[in-house]
Amino acid sequence: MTFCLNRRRACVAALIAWLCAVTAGSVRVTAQDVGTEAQRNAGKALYLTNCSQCHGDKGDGQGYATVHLLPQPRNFTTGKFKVRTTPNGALPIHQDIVNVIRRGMPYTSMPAWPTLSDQQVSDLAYYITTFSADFSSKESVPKPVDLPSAPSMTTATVEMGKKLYVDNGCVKCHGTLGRADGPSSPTLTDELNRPIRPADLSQPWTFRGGPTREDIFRTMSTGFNGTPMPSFADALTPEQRWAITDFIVSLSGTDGPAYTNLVIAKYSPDAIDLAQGTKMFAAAPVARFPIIGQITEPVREFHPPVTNVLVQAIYDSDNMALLVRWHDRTAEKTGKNGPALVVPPEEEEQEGGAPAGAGGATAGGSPSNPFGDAEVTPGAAAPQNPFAEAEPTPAAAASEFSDAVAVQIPSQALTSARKPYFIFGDSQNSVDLWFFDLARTDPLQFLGKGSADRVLRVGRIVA
Amino acid sequence: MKILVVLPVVAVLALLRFRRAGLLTWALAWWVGIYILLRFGFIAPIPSSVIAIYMGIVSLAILAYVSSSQQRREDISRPLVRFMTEKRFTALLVATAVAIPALAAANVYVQMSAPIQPPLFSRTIHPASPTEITAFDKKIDLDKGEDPFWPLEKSNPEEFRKHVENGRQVYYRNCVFCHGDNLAGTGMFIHGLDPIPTNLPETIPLLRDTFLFWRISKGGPGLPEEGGPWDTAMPAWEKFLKEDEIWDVILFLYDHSGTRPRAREEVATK
Repeated sequence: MTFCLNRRRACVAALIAWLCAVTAGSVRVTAQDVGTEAQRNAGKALYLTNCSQCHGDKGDGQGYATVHLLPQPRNFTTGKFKVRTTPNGALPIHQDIVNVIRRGMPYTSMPAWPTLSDQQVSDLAYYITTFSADFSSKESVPKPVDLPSAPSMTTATVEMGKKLYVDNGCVKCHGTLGRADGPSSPTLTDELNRPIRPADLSQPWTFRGGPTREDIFRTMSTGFNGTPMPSFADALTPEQRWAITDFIVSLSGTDGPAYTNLVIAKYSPDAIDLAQGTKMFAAAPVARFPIIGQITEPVREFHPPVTNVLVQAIYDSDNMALLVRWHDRTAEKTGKNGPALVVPPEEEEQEGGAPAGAGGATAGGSPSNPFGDAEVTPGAAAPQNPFAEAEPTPAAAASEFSDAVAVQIPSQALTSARKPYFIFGDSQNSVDLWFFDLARTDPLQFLGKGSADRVLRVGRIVA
Repeated sequence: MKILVVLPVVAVLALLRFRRAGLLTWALAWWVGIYILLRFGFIAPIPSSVIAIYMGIVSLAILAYVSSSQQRREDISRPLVRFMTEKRFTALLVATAVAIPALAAANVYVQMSAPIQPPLFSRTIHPASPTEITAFDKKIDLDKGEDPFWPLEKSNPEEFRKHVENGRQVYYRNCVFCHGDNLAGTGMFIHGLDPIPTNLPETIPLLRDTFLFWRISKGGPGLPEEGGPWDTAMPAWEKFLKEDEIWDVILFLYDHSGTRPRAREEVATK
């Protein structure tokens, strides 16, 4: 009897244990993978060394560097992540966070972290889940969306994608040619009401989620949480999403930007005639120059709307002409730009400065300005050294500056390796500065002898 | 010496000796063998101009050897004469006569159609610093000076951490855009920079902290000519930062990368 009772107790105990195991098992299957206490603690130490300067000690995206960054660092407390494999609005899975840390986000301040070990990246990803309570709630269990493998790309899929691209409203923000210049694009804001730019589909190397077909397909299937980019997983079939992907790829290819520092001028047997416009440059090779914000002299510019300019050059027996094109989503043609302008000293940095202050001084003007493409009328001048360096224009308070391009060329042919200093020349080595301002109809020419006093010495003005 | 190159060369020469190869083959084998040894046989590569000089000497030596006696002159010229006179070699002779100018022409063509390159300027990355600079309205001795906050590390560790933390803030508000999150010169703007920014953890242990102060406060424009001041985008930070902020950021750079400045070279006097 005793034995039997014991056996029954043992059975009940076993049943309870089995039930517990089943419950625990089901919890393990459905709950978010947030790692162990030890993993999160290891992640915390790494976070405080490597991440908190931008994402903040509390994970709220308010770190030391935040004032100068656009896009701003992710605020982990919102639980909203852009690059994921999970449906729109859902939390990312562990591997999604790991992937972003590993790959970084191109053309933002989030770098890739190749130096961290797999274990370290995993620990960091676990620690990041502690900032938002959503990760420990049972309701928000993420389930990755179905990402079928890629069918082959054909002209038919590109054509189909082009039609779908228009029909589904992609064109409203991303523009007809994918250049992020759609009519809605100037009005876009993120979840925190900050202005946000649509992706420039003609420059896939800048895509935050990556440039491959799979990356584009995933972004279209999941959307970017916290931004106006929606998910099309419900609205479109996978075939349709692949078709749009193929259209996007067709806009620019999957090659990189092929940046160079060399413009090769093409000889033109006919005399250069600017009235013909860009037609004369058709045969000239195109050089893509990378440009960055001017962060060397006051006022510094930390988030230029343009990352590169395309330069072509032709010459005849007497003249040389340059065609400079850039793709500026905030074309500004109303300001009074000019390198002769006295640049005010940089204002004292406000502690935790308002985002408006940080976002105001774009080279192209304020984000509310109409977007558009810019193209500078080719200018001609005396024959010169063909090794020109295009300079990003200095920035100042938004309304005072229009878009402009300055081309700096040594005033005298180089006799040694010594070049003029690359911003406005220097006192011993002057530069000829060709200056084209979209707010003016006439190009200007200056003699640059340095920027130490922040006033350019105007040589002569060519009307 | 690379043993995998040396052994086959020696083996081929030995084989030719064993087979009693003709003098012409023997001379050519020596010439080619020595060229292969010079070009590929050494672990540290020899400059091509030096190889050209050596091969000139080798050619003279071989010529002297093959012409040193009547017997050898005949040995070397017999196969050549046969090649040029016998009927069965006519086709080969014509092919050779065409191939020599064609190869020369092809060589010229390849050299002329090389892609255009921008003019090169080789810069000195760490030019010698001046012994003294003037910054923040005073003279700063780069030889004898040091970061004024180092002593706090021992005397007041709490205050020292404050300086490091302030340096961290300065870095991530000013330097991170080019030098990057992990100080390795991989910031968000480097796609537009040539030369790329310095990899700090690799560089600063080789330098004195005062050298860093000079480079940070005077920036690219303050470089001597051999450093190529016109080529760098490093701002002169004395325009933006206070003196203490520069010393703080130097503390942070060493602290974050777990390195120390190069020790000052003490010159024994007496």
